[in-house]
Amino acid sequence: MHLGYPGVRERLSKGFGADKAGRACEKESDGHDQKYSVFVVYIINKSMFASSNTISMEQSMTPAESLKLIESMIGQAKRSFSRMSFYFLLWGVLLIAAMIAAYLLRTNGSPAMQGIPWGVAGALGGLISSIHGAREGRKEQVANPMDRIIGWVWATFVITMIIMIVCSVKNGIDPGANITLLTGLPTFLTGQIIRFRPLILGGILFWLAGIAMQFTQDAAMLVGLYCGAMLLGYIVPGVLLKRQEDVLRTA
Amino acid sequence: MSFAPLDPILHNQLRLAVVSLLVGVESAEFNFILEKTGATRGNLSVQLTKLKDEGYITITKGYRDNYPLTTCKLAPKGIKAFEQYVKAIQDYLKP
Repeated sequence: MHLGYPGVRERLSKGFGADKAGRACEKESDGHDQKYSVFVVYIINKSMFASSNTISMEQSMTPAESLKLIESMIGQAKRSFSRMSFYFLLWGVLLIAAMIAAYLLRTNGSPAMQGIPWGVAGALGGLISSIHGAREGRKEQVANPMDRIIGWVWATFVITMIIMIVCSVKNGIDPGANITLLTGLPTFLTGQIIRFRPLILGGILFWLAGIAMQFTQDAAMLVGLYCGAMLLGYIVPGVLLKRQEDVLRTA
Repeated sequence: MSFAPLDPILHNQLRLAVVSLLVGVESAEFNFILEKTGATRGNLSVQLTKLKDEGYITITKGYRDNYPLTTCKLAPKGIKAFEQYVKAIQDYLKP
């Protein structure tokens, strides 16, 4: 639309803060009837800008208002973490199931079979997490540096855990207590990064459970400590985190 | 006491909101900025173009699932301008 009429652009920009909008339209529609075009642009601008009560006006701001706006937007960006409650719930359920299955196999079946539930839980959890992560990643509208840091924290945890399991098995040591201790690290760090207290407490709980597990050989006690830590360190924070994520997404 | 003049590019509600939002993330899609600022599509598009023309942000246009996808990222010039702007308003607010 050609805004060739003297004063029209000025009027639009003055009234509705859309100086550039006029110019952008100018490029798009050469050859249209000028009078009609100007009218259409005027109506569009009026409906777009005059009725909006959002951040759109070319109005002047005081320094205090500017600072408030900056703080508000930085706060919005900080809250744009990826949804991660799914992973805590998934792994919490899978690892509790694996621990119980391993315990049942140890007491009722062959002790040599007790590694199978862990392998199945690890493979299943890894597969579901990868599929879910890829699917969610495609939907994400923002790349947050904190998401990347959290991802690396958990990747580091997984690598260390695998090395620890291999070393423990080689030396004939049950890796359960040390893995529980190690699980406290990424859980605590994630809680601190996203400033989510239940996960921070969950991390501390894993450390306490890991320490307690060093002092007992009783299988039922080990299962209780591990499952309790998983329940309160992964599942409960996962449920609370999911609630918070749902609230933030709908806010 | 003399105050540093405020950057006219950033001293606009929507442009300042966009830059403040991009400061906290690596990159953001058009719809994310739209949702967070509550601006209209037309106005946001205009202000993003203005920020891009000034070299404050980079805009990447692509496709996802056959739909156009616009991604914005703060450029080094934009980061510097934002830092200077924040410092300037802090000077204004000093008692």
